[in-house]
Amino acid sequence: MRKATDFCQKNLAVVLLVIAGVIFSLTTANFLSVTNILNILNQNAYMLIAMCGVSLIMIGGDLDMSVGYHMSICGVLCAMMLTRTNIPIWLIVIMTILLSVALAIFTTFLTELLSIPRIFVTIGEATLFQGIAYVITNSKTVSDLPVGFKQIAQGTVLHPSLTYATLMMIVCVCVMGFVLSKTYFGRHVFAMGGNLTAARLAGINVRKMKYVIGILIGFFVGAAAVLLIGRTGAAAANTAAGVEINVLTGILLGGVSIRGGEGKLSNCVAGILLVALISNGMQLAGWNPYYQYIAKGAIMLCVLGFDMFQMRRRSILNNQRKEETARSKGNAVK
Amino acid sequence: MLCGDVKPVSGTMEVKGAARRFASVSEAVDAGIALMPEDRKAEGLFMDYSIDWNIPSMSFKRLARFGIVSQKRVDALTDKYVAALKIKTPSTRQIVRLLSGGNQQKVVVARALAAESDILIFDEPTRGIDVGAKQEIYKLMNQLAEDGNAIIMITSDMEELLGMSDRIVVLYEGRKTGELEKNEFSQDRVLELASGIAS
Repeated sequence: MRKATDFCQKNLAVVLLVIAGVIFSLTTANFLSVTNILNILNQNAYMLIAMCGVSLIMIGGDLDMSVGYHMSICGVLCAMMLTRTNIPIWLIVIMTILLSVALAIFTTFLTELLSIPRIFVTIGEATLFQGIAYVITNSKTVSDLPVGFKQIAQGTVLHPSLTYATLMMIVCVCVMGFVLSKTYFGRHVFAMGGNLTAARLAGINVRKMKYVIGILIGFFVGAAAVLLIGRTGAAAANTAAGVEINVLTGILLGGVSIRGGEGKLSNCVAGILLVALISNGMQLAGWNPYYQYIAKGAIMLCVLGFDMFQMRRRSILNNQRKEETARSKGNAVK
Repeated sequence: MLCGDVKPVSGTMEVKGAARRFASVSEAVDAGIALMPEDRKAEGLFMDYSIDWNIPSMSFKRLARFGIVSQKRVDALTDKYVAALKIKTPSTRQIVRLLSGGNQQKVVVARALAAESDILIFDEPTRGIDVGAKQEIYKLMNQLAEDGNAIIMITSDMEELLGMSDRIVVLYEGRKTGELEKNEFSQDRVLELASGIAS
């Protein structure tokens, strides 16, 4: 019994996802069909790929609030290159990802230069990026993307709903999950999230790590931008607006603490899918989108509250346990 | 400064006969220097992680093959130092926050030894730990010195200073004011130098 509750607590997102899945499959016909599940994965592939980068930052003890417009800029520039130039598609994709990496390196450079947490730098940048995205598109939607480009995201294998985007998402998640849990790089990320000063004094090159994490988030956000506009077939300045909040909520639901140092990628995947299912469910129920914002905000606040509650409860438990061991030691001496 | 976290203003440093200047702590660790910070809770340990995470935490890179950390080697290393330093714990999976101050300090030392460091900087090694554990730490330091490690102890505890040292360097406001050999040790002399009266 204790093991079961322990499991539920550690993998809360997975448990909630299963519950949500059961509810939806009872209330909606075809929910549990392979096609529908693959569709959900396809629709959220870009979010899950972005999550691979953002979760690294969060486990490392920081936040990135500019992901949405960062992705938008990459998306619109990619779309404009596709429609207005004759550069081959593969080169445009690589250029988009490189651009995204450059933006992320710039962010890391600013955090190092100003020596303030990434969260504050990226709050400023989010507005900056938003402005740039609107200026370069003149707030128009860029559509009519070439079919060859759309195939990158929409092409299917084996099953008519198993897209390349889904496959790439699965590869990214598996690779990052492995990197985080098995490699020394992953351990160093956890070290930074656990105690940044101790990590530095233990000889971990924190500055280099920050740049590497920056490059990785840039890569994942760039790839997500390509897949997102490839799936929708159009790009606008607000294409990916608000992605950072959805990703953040999903990762927090996935059990990553807001202070960093904890978390498992599989739970983050479940968290993101849970957010997706909830918004999907609200859409199916015909809720006004404004109410959806209210619901999402409320979920985020609940998750933050739960995170805080868990930390406080754990510190109380720790003190109790420490007292107990001290007492039993005292008895042994007597 | 010795371990590369702060850039020196002047002076030179030699490690094993070669002049060195470290740009970062990681370079110093590679050269075999390990710092055991005075505030082990805020600067030394990863308090919410387990013992078998903390002890190898300076050595993950070395324990990895093709970037992949082998859990087997992590366990072997942890078990070796938990036994060698007699760290009292029900399990190596125990999180460090739950250990007593003395055992936490031993984990800090174990981590430095596990990184194969042979120049050990103890910064206030006995702050906030009980008398019995203090004696154990002293014994451990003497043993380590006998085994051929260089130990630099930074302390503001006079008894500890006079009792443990072979040579004392006194600093006042960041500058060296004196160096005492074992036969010159006296409380008055150290205090004089430390308060900057004697120049």
